[in-house]
Amino acid sequence: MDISIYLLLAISVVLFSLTSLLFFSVIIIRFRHRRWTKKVKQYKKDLLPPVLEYLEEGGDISNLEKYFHNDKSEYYAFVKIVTNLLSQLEGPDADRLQELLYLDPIFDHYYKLLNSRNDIDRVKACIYFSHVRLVNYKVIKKLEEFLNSSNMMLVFSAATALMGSEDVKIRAEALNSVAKMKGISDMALLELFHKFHSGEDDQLESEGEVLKEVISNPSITPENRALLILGVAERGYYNMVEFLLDKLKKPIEIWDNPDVLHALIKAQGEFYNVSSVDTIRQYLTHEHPKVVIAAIEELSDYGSEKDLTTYHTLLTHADNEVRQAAVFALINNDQNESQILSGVPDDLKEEIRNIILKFKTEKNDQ
Amino acid sequence: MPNEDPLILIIEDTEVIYELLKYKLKKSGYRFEHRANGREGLEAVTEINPDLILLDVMLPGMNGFEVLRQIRENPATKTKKVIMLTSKNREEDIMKGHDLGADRYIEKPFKPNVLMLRIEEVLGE
Amino acid sequence: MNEIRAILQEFVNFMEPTSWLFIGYFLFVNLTYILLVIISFFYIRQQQNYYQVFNLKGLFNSDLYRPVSILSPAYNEQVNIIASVEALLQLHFSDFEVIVINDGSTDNTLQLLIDHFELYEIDTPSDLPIDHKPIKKVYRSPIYSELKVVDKVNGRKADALNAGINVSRKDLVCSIDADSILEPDVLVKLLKAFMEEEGVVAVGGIVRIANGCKIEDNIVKKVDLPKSYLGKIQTVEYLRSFLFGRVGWDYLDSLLIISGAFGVFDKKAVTEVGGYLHDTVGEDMELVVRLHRHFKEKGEKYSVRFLPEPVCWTEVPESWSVLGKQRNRWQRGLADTMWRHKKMLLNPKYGRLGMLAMPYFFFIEMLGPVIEIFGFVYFLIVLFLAGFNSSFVLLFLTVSVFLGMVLSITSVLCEELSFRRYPTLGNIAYLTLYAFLENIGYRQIHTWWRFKGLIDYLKGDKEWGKMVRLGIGNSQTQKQKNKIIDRIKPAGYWFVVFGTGLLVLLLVVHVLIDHSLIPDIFSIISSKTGF
Repeated sequence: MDISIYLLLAISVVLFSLTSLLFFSVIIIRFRHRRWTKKVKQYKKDLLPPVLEYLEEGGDISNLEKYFHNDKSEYYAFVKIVTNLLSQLEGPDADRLQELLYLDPIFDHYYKLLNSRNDIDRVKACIYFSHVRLVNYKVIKKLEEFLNSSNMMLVFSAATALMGSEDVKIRAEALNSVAKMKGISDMALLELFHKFHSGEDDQLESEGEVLKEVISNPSITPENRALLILGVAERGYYNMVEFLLDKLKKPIEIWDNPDVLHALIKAQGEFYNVSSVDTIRQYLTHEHPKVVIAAIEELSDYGSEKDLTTYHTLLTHADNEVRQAAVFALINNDQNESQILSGVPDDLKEEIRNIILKFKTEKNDQ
Repeated sequence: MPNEDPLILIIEDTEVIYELLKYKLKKSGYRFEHRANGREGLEAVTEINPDLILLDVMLPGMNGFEVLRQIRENPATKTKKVIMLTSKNREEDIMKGHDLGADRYIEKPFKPNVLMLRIEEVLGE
Repeated sequence: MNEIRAILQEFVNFMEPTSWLFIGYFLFVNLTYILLVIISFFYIRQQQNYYQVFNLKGLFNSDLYRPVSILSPAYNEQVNIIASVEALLQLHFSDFEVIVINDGSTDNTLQLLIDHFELYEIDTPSDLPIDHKPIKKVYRSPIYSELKVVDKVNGRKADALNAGINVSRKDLVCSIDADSILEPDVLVKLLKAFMEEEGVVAVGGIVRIANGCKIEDNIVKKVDLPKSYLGKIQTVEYLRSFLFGRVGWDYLDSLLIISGAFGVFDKKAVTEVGGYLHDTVGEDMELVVRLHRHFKEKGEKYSVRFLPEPVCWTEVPESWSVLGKQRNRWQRGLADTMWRHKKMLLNPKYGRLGMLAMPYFFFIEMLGPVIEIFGFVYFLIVLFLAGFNSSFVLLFLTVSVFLGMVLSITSVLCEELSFRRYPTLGNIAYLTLYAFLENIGYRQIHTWWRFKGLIDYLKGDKEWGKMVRLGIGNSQTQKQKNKIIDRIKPAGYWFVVFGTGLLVLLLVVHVLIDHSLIPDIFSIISSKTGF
């Protein structure tokens, strides 16, 4: 009876202490949490009118400093109000709101967090600095240091914050260090790429120039390079058209990769660069299906009559998706079903017919 | 005669936005009412008979487009002036707002002063 | 009487060596689970710190990110279909479509949809990479361009989802139950998994219990506990196994289950493995295991994630019989999945999955009930023969009931320290109480359901337990046919609950008396009854 009693006793003690811990923490946490939310709510109520007043009437921002009493929850509430408004407003009002974030007590608080040794605090600071226009040299320097961290979250949030800088070189460096990271997702990189653009259209040209360097960096993975190329085309960096076309003409080393070639071809299509047609045509016979598909898709939009025969030959290509793309190109060039099917071997006829049907329904669907 | 000031109904669920709008409208001497839910907003349209409705798209209870559709279907409220205010910036949605008969369409993020101009414009029509 | 005693004694002697197996089993299971809960707690805390790192903003200006199709299969859901679809259409996300799949409903579901959304017919897609029962018609709505309704011949949920996957034109598919209530920001939160890592093929979110919550417009306005005993018990149970259990497995990179009520999948990956299987009752688990197996065999880098922040609220059964059928079905689904993928079991080729997760699910989750049932029977016999003075009885109750309580209370504590979704102190008091009660009676009954599920599976019964649902926000119970049986059965369950309760109470009193902590009330009673 002895050991079992001891076990029962031990477990009962654990059970009892856990239960008391639960109750204890429930009461304390809830109490603190309630006090915190009440405080934040009150601050929001107090702070919103002067913020709106400032937006409407202008005036010296230091007038707002009197609302702060060196309390973290005040900073939290204030930053929350301003960033919430920022996400909904644009134009001069948004610019003025950003200035508000530079109020001394707020800035000092986050600057302290930025310099802490704790990654979690650092990330908090990065998130704050991602809302302001980055001009402070010391802050930028610190953020750039974080780009070399082994903590992916810190690197990403520091890079995000650096995208607020006016200096295109700094932004490019941040983009570069994230693009180099192993295991970064395409979505995260894309998100950062879209923040890379400052929003001022007169910067497009200088942005394009530095992007050439980022994209040519050999330490970036082919997938990321491909993604950036697609992003460049979507965003419309027209001064990169020729640069990218050159790479497509002479794909050596890092450019000779199916993903990258696919993106390069797609990008020319997105730019509507008619002078790329001859170069793209050469890729209709490329060994990698992905590249061939991109070539077919782009050529079908502005290719000439003579490509039709090539598409017909591609109907018998070994890869199913290439066959699909070829059918689509033929439909796109106003070929009807019997024209498409002429010359197709009998064993493929059924499949091609199904593909035609599929594209037709898809077209109607849109 | 304060009662002759135009009455504006705000149907919007984002707190900072309606606080900002309230502030702005008050400054410009408009009267206003606020609802944070699509269905309640629609009810308020007949109840308080506003001169202009500021309507968000993403709303709990009932989508903004649906609210607009029902406003236009009801003969009593058919001619109400509506400005759609939404964070959706897809062309498709602007078309939809237009087809349903919104008087103006303001995209978020927006410039508050532009919105005030639009309000004046629409009320003057 | 003596003869029975003799036979039982023989049985006990025979089982003697295995008695340590029972003790060891419960000790092992409960301790691993406690460990899992604690690991996941710290893991969650760490994740919460980085929650704001990935905010999706620029991404929505691009066409290169991944849009989502929500697949909502509906079979005779006329009570709730309009409200639920309207709510889905209000989710906060930039680019998504909602596909409602009417799985051959025999009620008014389709007509209600057609009338409300003014549906018109479009061409049915001809390109159907995944196999399923034929699609009759596909509709779209002029009011919501992002809504599609698929009308198909009745199959099962898996079959309906496959049709939805075929119709979907987006990169990701989110499968839900027709009565799932999604919080407005779930899609944004789920997408974080795809941002954090490359190669994510499936992400599960947390399923919480909607019973008792205040629901308006299919949005949970106020969180509260269910009213009924079974509802509250399940709340604790869901915290333990669906929240912290799964986060723990996620931490170990070995998540085998994503609830059918709420999960997002990479459409390309699902199509590659051939979609949901329609001849299994556990299609949700089976798909996840198949994805694991496929990508492991292919040698590709991939991951399956569980996120505790995106919340889906769902209605759980509150009657003994319906709950029993549901659990029976889950057990059969589990067994079926294990059987189909037995090749992975203890196969080092599949890494941690083959060596850790699969064995755990096979031996503990699947075969566990067998050991437990034998344990309980053996326990009852020993109790009958030797009374409370046997150290086995004491040990058994300690590791099965009291250690179970430690586990449940740890889960409640972790919930309180991380998410705090239950707003009032009263809620927590109830959760604590039910963390204790869960282990007295309910867990034993649960074991019985799982045991029966396993037996039914072996007998080849693959039917779905019928799930009678209460309409959400509508408390009218549907009429049930076998009134008499349904009345007697719960009584049996309650008998077990109270019986177990009494036993535990007796044991505690007994121990206290033995150590002269309270006066010996037994001898007073026994002098009267002659026990």
